[in-house]
Amino acid sequence: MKGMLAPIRKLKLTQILRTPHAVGVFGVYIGFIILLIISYIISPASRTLQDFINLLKQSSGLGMLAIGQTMVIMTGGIDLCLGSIVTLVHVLTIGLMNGDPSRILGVCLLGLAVGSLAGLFNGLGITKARIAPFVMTLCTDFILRGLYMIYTKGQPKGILAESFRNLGRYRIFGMVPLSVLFWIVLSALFIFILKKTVFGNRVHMIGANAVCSTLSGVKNDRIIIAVYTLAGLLAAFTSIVLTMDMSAVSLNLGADYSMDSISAAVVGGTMFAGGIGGVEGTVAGALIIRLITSLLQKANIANWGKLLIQSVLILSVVAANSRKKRT
Amino acid sequence: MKPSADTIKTFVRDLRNPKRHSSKIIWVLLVVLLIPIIIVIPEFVRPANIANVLIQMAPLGMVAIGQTYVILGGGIDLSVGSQISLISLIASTLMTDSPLNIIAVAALCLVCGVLFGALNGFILKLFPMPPIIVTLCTGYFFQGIAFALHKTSGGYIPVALKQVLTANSGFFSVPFGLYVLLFAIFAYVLYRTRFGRYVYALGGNADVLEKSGIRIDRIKIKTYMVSGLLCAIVGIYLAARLRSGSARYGDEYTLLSITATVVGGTSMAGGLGGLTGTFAGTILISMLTNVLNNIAFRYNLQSTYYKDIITGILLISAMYFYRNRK
Amino acid sequence: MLLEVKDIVKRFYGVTVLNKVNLGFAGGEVHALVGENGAGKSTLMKIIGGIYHADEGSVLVDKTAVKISNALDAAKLGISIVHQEYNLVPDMTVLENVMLGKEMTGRLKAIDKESSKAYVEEIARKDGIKVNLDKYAGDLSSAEAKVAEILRACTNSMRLLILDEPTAALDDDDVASLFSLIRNLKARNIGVIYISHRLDEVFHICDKVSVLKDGKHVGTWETGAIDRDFLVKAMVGREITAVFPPRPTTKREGTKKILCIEHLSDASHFQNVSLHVGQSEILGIGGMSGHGQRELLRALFGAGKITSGTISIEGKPVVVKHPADALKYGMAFLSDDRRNEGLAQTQSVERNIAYPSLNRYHRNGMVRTKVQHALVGDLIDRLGIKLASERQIVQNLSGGNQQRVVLAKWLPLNPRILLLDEPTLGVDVGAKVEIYKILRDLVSQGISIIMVTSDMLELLNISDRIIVFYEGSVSAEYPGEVATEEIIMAAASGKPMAIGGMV
Repeated sequence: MKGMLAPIRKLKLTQILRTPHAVGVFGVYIGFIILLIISYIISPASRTLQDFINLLKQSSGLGMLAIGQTMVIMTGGIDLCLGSIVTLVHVLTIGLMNGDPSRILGVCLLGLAVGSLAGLFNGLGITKARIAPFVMTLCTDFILRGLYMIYTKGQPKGILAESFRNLGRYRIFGMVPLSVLFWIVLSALFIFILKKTVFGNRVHMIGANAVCSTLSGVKNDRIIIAVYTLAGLLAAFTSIVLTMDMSAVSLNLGADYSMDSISAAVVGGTMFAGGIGGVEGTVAGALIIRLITSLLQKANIANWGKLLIQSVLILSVVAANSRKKRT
Repeated sequence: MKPSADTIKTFVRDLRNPKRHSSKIIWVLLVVLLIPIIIVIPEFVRPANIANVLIQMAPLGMVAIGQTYVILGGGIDLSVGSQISLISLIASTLMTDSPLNIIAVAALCLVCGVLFGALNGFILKLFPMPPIIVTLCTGYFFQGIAFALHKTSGGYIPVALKQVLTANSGFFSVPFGLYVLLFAIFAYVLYRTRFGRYVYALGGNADVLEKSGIRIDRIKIKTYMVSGLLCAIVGIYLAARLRSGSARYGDEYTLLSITATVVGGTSMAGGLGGLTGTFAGTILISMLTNVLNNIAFRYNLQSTYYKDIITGILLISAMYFYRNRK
Repeated sequence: MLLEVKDIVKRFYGVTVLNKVNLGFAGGEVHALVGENGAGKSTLMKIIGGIYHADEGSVLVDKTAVKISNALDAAKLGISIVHQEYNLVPDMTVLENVMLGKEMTGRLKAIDKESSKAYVEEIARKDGIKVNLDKYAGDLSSAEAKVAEILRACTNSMRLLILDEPTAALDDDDVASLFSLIRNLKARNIGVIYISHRLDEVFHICDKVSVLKDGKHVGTWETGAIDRDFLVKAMVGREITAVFPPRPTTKREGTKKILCIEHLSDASHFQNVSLHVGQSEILGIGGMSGHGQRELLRALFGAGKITSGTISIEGKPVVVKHPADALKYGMAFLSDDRRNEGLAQTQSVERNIAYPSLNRYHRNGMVRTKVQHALVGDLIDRLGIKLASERQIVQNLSGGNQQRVVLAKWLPLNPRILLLDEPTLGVDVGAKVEIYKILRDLVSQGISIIMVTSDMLELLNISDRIIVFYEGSVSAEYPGEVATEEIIMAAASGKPMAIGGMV
């Protein structure tokens, strides 16, 4: 009996690559490498290890935040308030810490709680009040923006404790910043969670077919609430890690993160249709987005070039997927 | 005409049953809200203030007309804010003092607006993507172009245009008059013409509409074109009022226009609701903004921050209230 | 010939649904199209209506080949279809629905409601159609909705009207008025294609009848020249014994009741339903579709709201509010909509199969991959699911294989009660045989099955006991061995016959 079953069980690389998602992820990494080579051709000066580590460092914040966005999109939703969570937690962290090292832990925990609460609010609105995810998160975005503007009165204040800033300056082996380490660890963790846990299986199935999931006896609402809460938590964590590296407080810190994270997830092969995607692609997606940003910065057209390129990029990826689905 | 006991009865019944005529509840809400407002802030009902509210509601009202068309047709337009900003910049970049130029540029802006809407519609026609994604992206795209035109606010708008577009004599003002005119036209189109029927059918059951021999893609594209046209008008108006253009002028209008539409009883799923509800929704938002400004002034607060929060909460509450409709 | 189809072939996911079908329909003639479920009638009509596209063959109107690529093309050729499913804009009035796409306009392009109404009323009066034009379509009963759709077809300059199961949701009076309407149309030289399961109606109203079986055209006869038995044989006429496994010979007397329902009602679909299923028993629920069977099954599984009544399992009353509760009590459910509800099409076979039982073999929330692999491999083997790899996406499997995957989902939970809704819908004959074998096998292991089906042969040959639904209530109950098609049909139209003291 066993011998007969063997051919079914074995999984060859060609078979793995036969799933569209795996091909997509493979393609994203190839795309990143090509883009990297192009950037090296354009500016030969950047062909250093230090420059590459800088790219990793710049991508790390987006990479961590986009993990949450990836999960949200995989359930068939979208989160438009992650950027505001970043800014809110950022101004709270700096404002409340105000140079006092004894407050670091408390302030960080508070920040994480605030992010999770915002995510929980989204999750509850989407499941219990049945509000469309983009409306719900857009509203939350406005509410959070109002909150941090009221808190700062438009002029954020506060300074970081020196020991907290030292964390941002710390380099593992004298090279790798902490944020990159966090990014790697979190990405690995969530790749594992999405692939190998009951929770991850449910995220996939709810995104692919929510009715089927319910009819299989799963309480979808709980998973969806958990996903949005996690996204909020990750955004808050990202904000704290980004804050370590800031010399001054900024109300614009989170401005681009909602869209950047959507770009990173979608470019990384996560589909709006739900159920297909993963953090493994988002990692490359975040690298690509940040590499493009840095190229545009070098050309001095970052502020508008980024908007144009990202919007066209998302649209073409989604359009290509939608075409594929049709045939 | 005196309302008979019967019409009152149906009115009350429809209120309780928020299925088809849900736009009525918003009128009741308006009246209910007005009473405490008048008690707390008697200045609110001063003619000068009312006239002010009417001027304030004009741009939002116009954008919301377009948004209502799109949402009724089962779509959503998240790019309205960026369209307005971009138009304001196109106008302020190209305008000079010559009257001929003003007219030509204004006409160009209107054409651009229609084209922006058509772009949204065509992308949706070519690729079966969710309209949120498409309009979110085109919104970023338009804003990108706007930033490319001008990093901050800038450009030039002749003072004459400002004088014309913001003229008001006591109760009658050009912006509100323009709004009423546009509202009348688009309400007529929506409620009385074939196109209006098709917009409802598109959102209600597009399949049936297609089987009835209507090119649903064309109807869909047209709803986005309506939205684009109205954004262009608002873009010109805002540019004239502030005598400059900016990539951020339109920002707030995306969420506000959706809120006005949804609070007014138009279903996010499409096919249900209408412009009269949106009219009431627009009044509600403008009324709250005015009151908020008043309170903020008294206590020396920044009203815009609170406005964001209130808009968000308002939209969430409206969606919650209507959640069982479809 | 008004309309002809030549050598039409249509395949879905590798299953041939229509195989070289040739048929002709004339004006002024009511032509019945009959056959079992899945014989290909609706598919053929959808090809004529431009909703599906034939893989091979051609459609001819007035002897010239035409290309019908959408409903609009069909309408232009004078072909109107009244589909089985609801086809109105719910938030528009009947008048607006009827006139959709051909509104009359007056001054300033305004819609002229008065003349539209007069026009539609005139047509309605002429054809004897009674419907309130000012009512919203969403508020119509299913009979009224059907009438509104026919009215809409009548307002088109129509030459051929296709009615797909028009009487499924109609009562006798409605049917009578529909028939007089059909006679009117016939007198106006309009051709009518009449698809129905109700053979009495076919003989009553139709001039000709064509039979489709397994996607093939069996024959066309004048209704006056044949009788009912002849028609049934033409429709069925296959070796039934080869398809259906034999019933177990041992008597199941005195088996204990596993699931008992008492006076169960929901808001609108079924009322006061009481029934039970015993251990190792297959309870078949028959009746016309849309009479509440489907909703009852869903409500039992916690996917629909129950307003009153009780459910008890092995004598203990239970409350089922969510499918998760149903799972706890050992229930499993196969949806009739496999594509949209039964399976996540974009996910792998393994993930789909393992999904409901994920809770059973995890370690701290982590899936025990090896256990899952062994389990899934075993199930694939046991149910004979044919695939290249268990990582394969469900989408690419044939209907029969998909249905086996759905069954496989539930087996690791060792369910005591299987709720099946149309278990062999869209499955080819070979796979049907397999699925029936699996069901028998499960029953012999002590599982109880409640099966809702509109497939008459399946109902008669698989069920140990049969319950027939009519308008949301149990109309009759028969032992599986004695029931016949006539008996079931009578009960399904609300006039159950008594046989051997049983009703």
